[in-house]
Amino acid sequence: MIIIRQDELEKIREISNIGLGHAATSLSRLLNMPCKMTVPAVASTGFDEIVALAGGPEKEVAAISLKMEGAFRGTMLFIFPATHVSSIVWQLTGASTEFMEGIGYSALCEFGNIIMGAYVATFADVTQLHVRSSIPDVVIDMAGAAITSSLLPLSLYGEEAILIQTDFNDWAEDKPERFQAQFYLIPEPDSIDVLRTALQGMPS
Amino acid sequence: MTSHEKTVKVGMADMDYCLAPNGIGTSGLGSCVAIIIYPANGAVAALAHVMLPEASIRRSDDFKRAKYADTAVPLLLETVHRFGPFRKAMLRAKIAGGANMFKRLSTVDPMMKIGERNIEAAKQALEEANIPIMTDVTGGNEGRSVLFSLKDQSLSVRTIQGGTKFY
Repeated sequence: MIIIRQDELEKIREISNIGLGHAATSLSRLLNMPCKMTVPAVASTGFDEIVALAGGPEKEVAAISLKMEGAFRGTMLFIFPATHVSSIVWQLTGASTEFMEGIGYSALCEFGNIIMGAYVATFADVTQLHVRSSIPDVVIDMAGAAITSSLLPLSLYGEEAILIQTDFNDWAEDKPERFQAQFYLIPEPDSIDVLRTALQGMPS
Repeated sequence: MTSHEKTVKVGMADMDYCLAPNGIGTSGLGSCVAIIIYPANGAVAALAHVMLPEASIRRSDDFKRAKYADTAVPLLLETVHRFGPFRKAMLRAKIAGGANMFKRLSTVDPMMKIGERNIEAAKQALEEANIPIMTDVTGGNEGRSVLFSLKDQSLSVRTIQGGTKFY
């Protein structure tokens, strides 16, 4: 069972603020439009609660998942309502495309890559842990199906993840697409102590 | 399904039962597998939302029998027999789920192919218990919601792309 203390969550919030700030900057550059991501909440969350926060087991969501590998191992999961998919694909490619038909899938993977890649780079930088991220994978389906399938390998050990909630702001001036997204950081059990030690080394 | 029929909802890694003429279901199955056991006379049905194949692979002390295919089947049998006893030959099963949702990640992490192993484990546990599988809606790469109705012993399976189908 993962037990992350409140003071440790505070430090993860700090890392997340910087990481998602960098992610927003990369996204703004790529899209040439203002994009802000704020971090309103960081908490320790059970798997059931993750599904509930995503809108219930049958809610259609986009879930982008990648593996964190190296000195720290775990899974990162990024979830937002599926209703925003076509707008994101359009912003990135200028194409109105049916999802999963080639370019839509690639665009969403790249969207995840930019955001989660920036997060992982910041995470590595601040914790001084050598961490790299795998290629991301995208699923658009029922929240229950997408979330459990991403987290299942870790449910052997416990059913808890670190929730990093974020608000996307000023996505585009002419077409405001504000939405709330959830990120989850799910350390593998062997990596919890690694993370804990690294966080202790951080100034509080 | 008719409106007076009540539906029991089963959560992740959980198990429950319903009595005739009601129904029992579970939502958002990805790599998880729903195993339903019921006697041919349709008096009772028990459903488990199985997440993992074998209880022996668990790493923590917390232990929910419904979470693992090999411990879920005996649990379902015990539950059904509370309303019996039923002769073994009377028992039937239906299974659904076991999708491979993250196809690309499953090439990086073999644990992500857990859906296939869940299906195999469910089938094996049912075979060992000598219970025939009447409906098998497993595999693929889509999320599913299922509802088993004791009225006609049908299993309805809903996917986002394919809508609802009855088996």
